Amino acid sequence: MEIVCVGEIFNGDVSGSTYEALYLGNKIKMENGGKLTLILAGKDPEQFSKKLSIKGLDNLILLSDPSLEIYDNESYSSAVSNEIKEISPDVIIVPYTSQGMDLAPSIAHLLGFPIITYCESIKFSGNGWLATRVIYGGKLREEVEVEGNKVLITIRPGDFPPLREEAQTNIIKKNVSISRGRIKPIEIIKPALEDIDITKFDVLVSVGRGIGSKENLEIAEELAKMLNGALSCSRPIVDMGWLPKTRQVGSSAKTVKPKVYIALGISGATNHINGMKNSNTIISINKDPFAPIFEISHYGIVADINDLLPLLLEELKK
Amino acid sequence: MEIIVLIKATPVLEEAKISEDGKSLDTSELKFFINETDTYALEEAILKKEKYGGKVTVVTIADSSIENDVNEMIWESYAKGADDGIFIEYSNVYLDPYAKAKILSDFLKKLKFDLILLGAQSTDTSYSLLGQLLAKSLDLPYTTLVSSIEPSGNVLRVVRELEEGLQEVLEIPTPSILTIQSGINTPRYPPFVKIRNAKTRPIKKVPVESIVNDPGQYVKLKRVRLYIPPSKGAANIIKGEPEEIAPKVAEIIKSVVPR
Ligand SMILES: Cc1cc2nc3c(=O)[nH]c(=O)nc-3n(C[C@H](O)[C@H](O)[C@H](O)COP(=O)(O)OP(=O)(O)OC[C@H]3O[C@@H](n4cnc5c(N)ncnc54)[C@H](O)[C@@H]3O)c2cc1C
Repeated sequence: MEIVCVGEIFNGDVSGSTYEALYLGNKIKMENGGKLTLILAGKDPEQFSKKLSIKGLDNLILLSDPSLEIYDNESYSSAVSNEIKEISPDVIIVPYTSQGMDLAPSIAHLLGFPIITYCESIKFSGNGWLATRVIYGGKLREEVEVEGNKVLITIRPGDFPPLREEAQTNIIKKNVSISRGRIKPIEIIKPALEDIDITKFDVLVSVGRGIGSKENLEIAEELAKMLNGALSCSRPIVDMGWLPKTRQVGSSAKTVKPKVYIALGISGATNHINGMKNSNTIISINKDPFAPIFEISHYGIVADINDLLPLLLEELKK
Repeated sequence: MEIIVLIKATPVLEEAKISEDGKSLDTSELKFFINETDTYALEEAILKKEKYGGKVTVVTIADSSIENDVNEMIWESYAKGADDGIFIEYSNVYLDPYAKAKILSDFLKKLKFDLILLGAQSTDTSYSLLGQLLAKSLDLPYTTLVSSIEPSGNVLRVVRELEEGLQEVLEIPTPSILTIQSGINTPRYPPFVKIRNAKTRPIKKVPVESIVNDPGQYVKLKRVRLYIPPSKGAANIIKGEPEEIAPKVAEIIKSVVPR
């Protein structure tokens, strides 16, 4: 079986999710036999050849062209697909990062592969591929089948551990010439970091949409201060402008691993829990007894924040 | 600008119930609302119309069994500022993003538009795929996870959200398809009277069969099973009256927080 992973250069380095894709690729290889290839495209991907010489990875293909410095789906997908065609793989794995979400459907289209996004597991079932997906914010799973022996699957950042053990890998360097499509990439903007670094705290009090009001946000902040911790949050709190982006925990933001993570009104969508599930102790307060956050919590408190939070603060002040 | 916004009715789910076929959700007791990122797509379309003129049309594909909630969703879109609403109805068939892209592409290729907007991800099946597949069918350029759109000449200057607060700026011509990330704007809440008045406005109902025959044949991602994952729950569950559990929770916090 030929397995191809499509890697990603993010902010000047190989993205963490590239190694996660390799983990799944290697797992499929161990189950079915075959070869694992990683394709990495960029302006100057050779600089990563040493770190990408990984046990389990048979071939590393580095595609370089100055025009690949900033990503756009049309030039990237054509460069990557041309290369994949030569390998004629059975499975292609792309991490569904911001880049992957943009790129993978174009690759699938150019190669005529069906695409199944956000797969949690995948196996070949005789007449097709069978994938498990996490849906409805983590409350349900579905099994999806595609006919035929070819598939492109995407994975959510943080769903798999990384494959990183160094070893010999066969490295193939190629210069490709790219013709720009209709999209013109301009520049990458980096955030101005003028805030605390939530990854440095032992205690995080993290608020989600269930916090309900700005007054409750103040109580949560008081709780954080009392515990020498910091206030962090889920995405909707940033979307509403209640806290800056620097405080967001999750697969598209910060990955944190504090000693104690207190989740207040956070449902536990995979995008969120992949950024905090490895915290030492997780305490969650949620009024929904079926909230997926409880699955990864050490202490699950079924309660309404509006009632419990003020009382809790009183108790802690005693 | 003529803007089409694709919106989806998604359910609010507490305790899920699976239908007897083991493949679908029992929706009989669920209430459906516009998908979260679609509210941002709709708001963005209305903001652009208010600034540059033009028209906003909302289009949805939904099962006729949730017709009432879909109507409400479209009326609310009118109250916010959408001009037209189209409800492509189907029943007794499962449709995946491939089938929906096929239906929408056959339907939309007859319409005139500059831009198609939709949310980057739905809170139910979370494929994050429809916009991209539709763009391929219509041969339009697309980009995803958009956090800002500014027209400049006949191109759009678009910002897309990357990880860790980074953003990418790019230019994309129209017509094109953009999937919208939450946080791009602040969606408005229309006053109740506006919603009530909107309910007198027509919704164009289009049976799916009038667009494609046997839409199920375009499904590539067949759902063979839907299930509730075995719950292990939290290691320790605490529930009860707030007054009763507050001291317990305080004890737990004190016992784990480092001094
Ligand atoms: C590409 C992409 C990337 C994303 N990246 C991230 C990310 O990095 N981080 C992230 O967090 N999200 C991310 N998201 C969003 C994610 O999918 C979820 O939508 C989000 O995490 C939900 O946040 P929440 O739990 O605060 O809100 P909800 O899911 O709305 O949950 C609110 C919870 O509060 C509970 N609640 C309500 N009222 C009360 C009350 N009074 N007392 C107690 N409990 C109450 C409810 O029961 C519910 O469980 C991303 C989404 C996309 C599409």
